[in-house]
Amino acid sequence: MSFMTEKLELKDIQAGRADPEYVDLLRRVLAIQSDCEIGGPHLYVEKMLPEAPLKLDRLVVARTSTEEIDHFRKFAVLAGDLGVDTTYILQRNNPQRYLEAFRGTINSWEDFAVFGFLIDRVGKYQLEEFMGCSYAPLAAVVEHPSRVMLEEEGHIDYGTTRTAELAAVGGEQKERIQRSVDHWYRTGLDMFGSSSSRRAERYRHFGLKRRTNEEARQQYIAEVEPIIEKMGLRVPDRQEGRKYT
Amino acid sequence: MTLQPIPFAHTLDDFLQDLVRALHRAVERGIAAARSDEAETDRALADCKEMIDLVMAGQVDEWVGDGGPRRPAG
Repeated sequence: MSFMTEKLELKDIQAGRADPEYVDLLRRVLAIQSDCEIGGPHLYVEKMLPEAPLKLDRLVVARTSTEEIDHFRKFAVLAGDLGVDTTYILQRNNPQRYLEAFRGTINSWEDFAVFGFLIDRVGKYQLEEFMGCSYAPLAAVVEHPSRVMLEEEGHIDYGTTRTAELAAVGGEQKERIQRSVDHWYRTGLDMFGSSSSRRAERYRHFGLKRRTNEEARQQYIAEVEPIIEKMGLRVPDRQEGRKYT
Repeated sequence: MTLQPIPFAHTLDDFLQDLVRALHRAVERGIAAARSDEAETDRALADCKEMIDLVMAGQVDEWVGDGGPRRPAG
């Protein structure tokens, strides 16, 4: 398979110098990424902003939501330049989100913590795909001096720390956090998509992504499972309840 | 392939950018007051909630004014 190495700017696309399939895929990935960014706050802000354990935790929920809104903004304006109206993404209900992970609601502090630990970490993998990608404005969203990756790392660190603390309490609290890990780990593994996805190969062909779905999933597994074990939690069965392998 | 940019995309971007800045200020205000001024922290949290609720409602046409997304007919 050959891969596109050329870097395109908006003006190249406006001038018709891009393959129509490339433009379709770019528009699609920008819409999905916008949806994932705003999908997080839609999952947790209603319950967690008023109900997080401490006021400082509530402020962290507010800051996390703020940063995700800002990330949405950065992807949405790129989508808008390419003729994608992201209004529907701002207005849709959770069950309509592109990815399963964003279709429910987060009602517990355990789920909020584990969402940061495991799902924001999947988000980091998704964003890494765009570093050095063939659409220069998209690469710029995630590359230095952009703060997007740093902010995602902050969400992951906060979620990981809170998850470890809750696991360390032991007893019923540890069982609750284990249940959250069981749920979100499988959800996270599915977020990488099907290992045999043709579309994923086309993304790579056009230089819009770097890794195959399975490569990214395996790297995630290698990163996450030792952390779960170190927390004293049980690594969930990777196959149970999975939709995509 | 010809593309028509969304006419209000940058107006929406500006609106959200201003709102994000205001949210960051409110969060920082709340964090700074967290140890010494509970009432101020509560006010900051209330400000955050009001602004985040605005985004969650997604009323883009109200944010960008004329030239915004078309409302569904009827």
